[in-house]
Amino acid sequence: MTAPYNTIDHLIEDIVTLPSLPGAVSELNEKLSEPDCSLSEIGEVVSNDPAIAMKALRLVNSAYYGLGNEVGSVEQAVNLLGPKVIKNLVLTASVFESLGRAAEDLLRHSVTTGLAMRAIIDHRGAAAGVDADEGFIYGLLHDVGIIIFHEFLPKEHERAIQMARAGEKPLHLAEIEIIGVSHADAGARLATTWKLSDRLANAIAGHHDLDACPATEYRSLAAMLHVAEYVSAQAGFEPLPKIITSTDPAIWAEAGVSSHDLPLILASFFDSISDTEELVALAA
Amino acid sequence: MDWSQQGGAVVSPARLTDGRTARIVLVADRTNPKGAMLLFADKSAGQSASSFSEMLDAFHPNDVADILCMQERAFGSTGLEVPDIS
Repeated sequence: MTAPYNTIDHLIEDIVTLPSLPGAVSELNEKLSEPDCSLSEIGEVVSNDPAIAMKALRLVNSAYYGLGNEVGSVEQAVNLLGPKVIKNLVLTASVFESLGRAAEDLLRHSVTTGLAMRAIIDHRGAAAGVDADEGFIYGLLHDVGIIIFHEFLPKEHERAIQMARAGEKPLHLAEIEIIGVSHADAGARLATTWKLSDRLANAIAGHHDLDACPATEYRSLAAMLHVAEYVSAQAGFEPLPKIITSTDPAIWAEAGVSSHDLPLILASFFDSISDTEELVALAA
Repeated sequence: MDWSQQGGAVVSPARLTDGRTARIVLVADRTNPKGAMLLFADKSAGQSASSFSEMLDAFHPNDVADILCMQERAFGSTGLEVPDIS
């Protein structure tokens, strides 16, 4: 049997309407590219989208950010955190807004993959090539393709899940066989459509198969994301019930994580687990 | 890993990267140095034990992550879901 959609373009033209990114993010990106942009202008852009502004404030006051003092307004957050952190904060808030349709198990898996990604990046330091806040967003978004499939191709995706549960093949390969593209392909396309960074789109594209990562310089990020997903699943946050994720030995080396690193990385990850429910609630 | 509950311990057969086989025995949380032990069966010398934390490099990272997560789920205080093993 031939899969109905042989490319992601075909799938999107025919059936899938990708969710749009809240305007606040693209406006903010434009503002931040202006050399003389002031902090008050940044605050204004965020405040103009009340839903995002509210989520950004909840996020900045959550245990995840751990600021200690309560931040009462967007302006205060901008002054306190600076433009770069605000950009990640608004993007994270926007992603949570878009994840509202996800099942709770998938949401917990996405949040905990983000927390595991943070722990890996904190441990690797500058060698990781990405900062921890941005890495958290990679985790949040890595399985967004599953949400898209649930919404637009529920029967086909359920068949792929059953195939994976039966142990016939990993989920992403079952999706390719039945749908024609994997959730990693769909998620990478969403990241591109949202004009997020190339490295984020590449990391999502390659998070199950490094060879699917179009730019080889981002393979390490894709590998870190794969390892973060594996850790999340082993900790009990499987993306879908009874879907076991497996990890190719070479991926650990590509991710720069050795057996010796894991106790510290996992201790940091376990310590952050208590943030999970507060973060999951942000998607509601 | 193939985990099972044996009394108060959680155990699994383990294969080391050098080809040796052993049993990993989890009895307490990660703050306890003897919370995860490795038991080797030797036909001539009987059984010997090593602390898992001192043998990390003898394991593939997949297995280290699996073992540490199982230890946290079974004995940790972070509230992770306890796995359904018997």
